[in-house]
Amino acid sequence: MKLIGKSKKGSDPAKSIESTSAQRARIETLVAGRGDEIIQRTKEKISAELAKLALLKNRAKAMDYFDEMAQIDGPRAKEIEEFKAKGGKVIGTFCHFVPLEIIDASGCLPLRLGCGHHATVGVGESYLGDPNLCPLAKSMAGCAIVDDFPLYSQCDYIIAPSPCDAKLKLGEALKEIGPLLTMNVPRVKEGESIRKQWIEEIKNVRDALEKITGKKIDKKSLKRSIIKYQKAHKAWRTLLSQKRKANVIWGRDFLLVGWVSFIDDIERWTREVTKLTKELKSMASAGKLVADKSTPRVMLAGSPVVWPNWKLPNLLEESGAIIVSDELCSGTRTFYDPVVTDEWTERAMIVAIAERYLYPCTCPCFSPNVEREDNFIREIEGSRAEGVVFHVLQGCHLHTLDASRLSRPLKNKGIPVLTIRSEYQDGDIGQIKVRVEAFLEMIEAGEDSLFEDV
Amino acid sequence: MAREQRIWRIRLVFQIVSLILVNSMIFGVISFGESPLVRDIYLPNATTKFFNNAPTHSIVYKIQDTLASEFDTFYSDLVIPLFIFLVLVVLLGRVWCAWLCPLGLPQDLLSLLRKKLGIPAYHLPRAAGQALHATKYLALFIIIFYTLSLGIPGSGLFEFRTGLAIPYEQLDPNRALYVYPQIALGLLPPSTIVPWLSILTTIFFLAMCFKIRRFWCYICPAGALQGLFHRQALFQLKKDSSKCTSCGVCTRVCPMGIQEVYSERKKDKVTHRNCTHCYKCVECCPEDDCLYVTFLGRRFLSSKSMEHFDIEET
Ligand code: SF4
Ligand code: SF4
Ligand code: SF4
Ligand code: SF4
Ligand code: SF4
Repeated sequence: MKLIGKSKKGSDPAKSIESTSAQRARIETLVAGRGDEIIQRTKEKISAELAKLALLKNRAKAMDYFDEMAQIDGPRAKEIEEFKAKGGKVIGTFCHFVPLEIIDASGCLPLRLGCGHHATVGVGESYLGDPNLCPLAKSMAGCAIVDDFPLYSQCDYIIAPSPCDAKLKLGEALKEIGPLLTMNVPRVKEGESIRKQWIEEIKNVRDALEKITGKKIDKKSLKRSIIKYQKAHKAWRTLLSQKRKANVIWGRDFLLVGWVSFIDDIERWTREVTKLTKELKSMASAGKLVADKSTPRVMLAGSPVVWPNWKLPNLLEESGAIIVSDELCSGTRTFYDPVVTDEWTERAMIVAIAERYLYPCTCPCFSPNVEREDNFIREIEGSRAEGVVFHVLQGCHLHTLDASRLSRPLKNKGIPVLTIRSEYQDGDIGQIKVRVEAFLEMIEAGEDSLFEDV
Repeated sequence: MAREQRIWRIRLVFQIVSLILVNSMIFGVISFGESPLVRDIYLPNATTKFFNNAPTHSIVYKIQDTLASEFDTFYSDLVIPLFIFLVLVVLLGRVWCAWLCPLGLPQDLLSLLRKKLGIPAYHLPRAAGQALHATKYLALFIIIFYTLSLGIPGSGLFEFRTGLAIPYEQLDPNRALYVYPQIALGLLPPSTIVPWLSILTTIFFLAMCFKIRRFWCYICPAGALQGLFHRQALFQLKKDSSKCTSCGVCTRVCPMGIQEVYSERKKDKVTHRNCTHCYKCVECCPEDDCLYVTFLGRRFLSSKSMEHFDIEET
């Protein structure tokens, strides 16, 4: 993101404790001219991952579209530039709590900030100043401070929910370099006061966007946007159902489809997902599977797996398993829940949106969290998964704690569980591979979990 | 048909048909209304007899009438009507409310009008809703206690027997609501008198039900009486908790402000005594087969996800 020097009076950027120029200088020293190299490494990583995906067996033709979109400097970057040239505003989002319908209704473009890029972790870490933070937050910080980073440098404004410490402080740090709205995510869902507070948070987003565009978000556009995303939800759910019927799509491909929704035009994405589902359906009826029925079926759980950090999915599927389901907010959960409203008054729509982003959310930041527990069981049973792999990012307390908490009842039910704690770097691949292979062997042997978690 | 309207529209048809056939008998079955065979049909809902020749009437009317006047016969007159009431409630539960009540229909039409005008509903705070729900039981208790006292000589209330023997009928919004249209249609003579209290409650009814969905059902004594038995009815609202995502949609769309459907996570029976069986929750729940309705244990209506429906265009 470009530094915004001219912060108007009364506009959002917080009064910085450092002057803008001092910030600028600090970032320049941090990046130290490595910006281009970081971008280059990011692109190379993406190409390498895409090359791997291209080799997958019996891959649907419709995946070509998603491959194309997966390149951060590809056609989508150009489209966004054009959109901006016409005066459009791009709104960067942190994660799952940002009401996309409202951004869309305001005429702005929602864009999920990059957070799976390995190459930006280093600068992000120095910028935030905590080596123990999760790599996802570091990567996101890096993407935001490197000048001219493809896609993400286009953001005019950032909406930053604060479900965990990493995201809260990341938002605070990024506020120094550009306008940003922090959303206060409640950590306990119960009670009328929480509900009211969250509705106010959603209204804050609306008000902030209205200020940016100078236009009121009217009832009609809000309704149109809700319906647009309901259609995305419908397409997504249809894909999920199809995926459950037969092994017609690799878990990695499925996760990529989900990731593309973060940056893509949602209507086009919906059409492409529908196309993909149709192709998968005909593949299923033709018996053209990507992996045969005896392939060990695993469910991926835990910290978000964000493109192009395909380390764990690659390891799992290259070791002979197929990821048949997941409970990742970067995967299945993307459009899992729809906004449902039986009235189309403005108030009713805002409340429906607010509730959609809070109540069914399975993010580990909540307690109590029956939603997540129930969702686990639903996913395992619905996909007939034979084992669960918890992906835990180093430094992410919420997912680490939930992995331990949820492993116990799963193991008691006789479901094998493996917890993999990892960073974005490739250094631990060998070690993880050994554990994954042993885990898959155990699944194939139909034994109970013999492994202690690390 | 849009997912969020698939049940509602059918229900509207039922409501209109039942208004015409069960409650009013407008179309030519006039003599049927006088037949002794139907003399004892007292329906469990807030049925009106203000339709000319309507054969049916609300059990709440019958209870008041008998209690106020028949101490000597030990209320034996109530035995058959109460028995019929019990059978009808066990048969249909509060389906009598959302699908067949002449006082439910105008409430739903007012909500519809409000929606069309784009005016948001007022959602009662939980505590206020609970208090109102309690009011209907209080109203029922007062009605029974008062009329019982009237019937007992020596209670000192004897002179009210001629003045105010059937108190709820003085308040019933049904009265003004249906008598005036019938006068206009020439079905009732223009000299028919509507008590002024009933005119006032009707205005109150219209105003409140416009802004608050099914407001009257929060305080209706006929609903209270059914609520005592309808959890044992053949119609049951059920939930498969394993499919529930806790999205809270069912609570938000419920006109009766029932939270128990949402919060129940163990038992499958979620029929609440305040539930009117409108199935708005079933209609809107976004998970396949999570909420469903059974009759005699057989499932005949289930919630469906958006996957199965066309999504409404603007
Ligand atoms: S796990 Fe929760 S906080 Fe982290 S990205 Fe997902 S939704 Fe956001
Ligand atoms: S991975 Fe964990 S620590 Fe990192 S941003 Fe998400 S919830 Fe927070
Ligand atoms: S509660 Fe409502 S629907 Fe039921 S009888 Fe009373 S007015 Fe009619
Ligand atoms: S619980 Fe469901 S069926 Fe009962 S009143 Fe509420 S919305 Fe209607
Ligand atoms: S609407 Fe359905 S899924 Fe949502 S909370 Fe109610 S029962 Fe559960």
